Amino acid sequence: MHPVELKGPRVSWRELAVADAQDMHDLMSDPQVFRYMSDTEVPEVAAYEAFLIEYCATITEPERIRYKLALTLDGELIGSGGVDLSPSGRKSEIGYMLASRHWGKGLATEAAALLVDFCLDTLGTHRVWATTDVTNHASRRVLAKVGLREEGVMRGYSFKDDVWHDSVMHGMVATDERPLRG
Amino acid sequence: MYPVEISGPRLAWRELTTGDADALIDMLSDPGLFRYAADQELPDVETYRGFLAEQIEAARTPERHRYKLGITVDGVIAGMGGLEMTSATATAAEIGYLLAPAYWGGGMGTEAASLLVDLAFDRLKLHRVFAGADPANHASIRVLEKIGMRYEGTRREDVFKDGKWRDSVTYAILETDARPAR
Repeated sequence: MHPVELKGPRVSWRELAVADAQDMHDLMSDPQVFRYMSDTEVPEVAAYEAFLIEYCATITEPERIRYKLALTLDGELIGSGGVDLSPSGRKSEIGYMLASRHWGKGLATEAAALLVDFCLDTLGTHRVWATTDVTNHASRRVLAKVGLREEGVMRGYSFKDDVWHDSVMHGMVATDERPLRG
Repeated sequence: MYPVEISGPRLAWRELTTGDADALIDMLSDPGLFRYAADQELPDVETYRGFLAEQIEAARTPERHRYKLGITVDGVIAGMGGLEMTSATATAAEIGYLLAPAYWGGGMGTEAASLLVDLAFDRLKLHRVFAGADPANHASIRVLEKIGMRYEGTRREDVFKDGKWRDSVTYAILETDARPAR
């Protein structure tokens, strides 16, 4: 499916473009965002450009399985995230990051709910899952609020700042009750 | 890493070749085998041979992250399985295997699985090895426990089988966990 455009009351998801390279670099340079990313260093703008050129060439394919999107507020890029489909196309993993200056206003919850609804209603996947660092309590709350349940803790799931970190597995299935949106 | 060859007291893992196509399709046609595996159509031998050729080519690259191997007993194909990472730089891998019913019940599964864990930690230097199983597949869960894996959680409605979504349990072992005596 292309192009994807998801509009909430305040934030929107749209397709990433090569022109977003600088904004993506700036977003990842936010220490509070970068803390939970697996990268060992923030990619340079040129690296984002190269990635986006390659990625944008694939998004019109009919068998699209990767949806990397930009999160915007009043037209400004304030986050990024997306959906990865399983090979069968029946399960989807969601992920997102939001610039820390916008934390605490419910914007992440709105952004995550848009992704969940996109997976269940538009892509028609049966199961939506996500992982969070066990210490990322804000993100765990967001996922709970949009309807994902905690299903277990995966030990040693990621390596960051010389330490192994555990991650929570969150899942929601199409027949689960969906919390009220908005 | 290519080629991989690992020997245990009774069985061995080795790279698959296109010459294994007949034996593997024969084995996979056994109706006893697929009770717990996800729905999958069995390809014909010719298609499967082509598929093996593609996999072997990918296995010979430095980006190798799938180790799809054959299990042999006295030189004869007795099963297949292996180890899969999300990328060549990943620190975790999922293991899985199938054993022909003729070899069930004698601890062969435990031997096969523990050799994969050794491959992951000792040769590929990974940090985490995990496996999934159907909650009703007690034999398989028992094997995972015997090789030192611990239960981490249950993914709800994770596998589509016989027209129904089934849960899957996740087990994992870390390089720092004790590995039971071999």
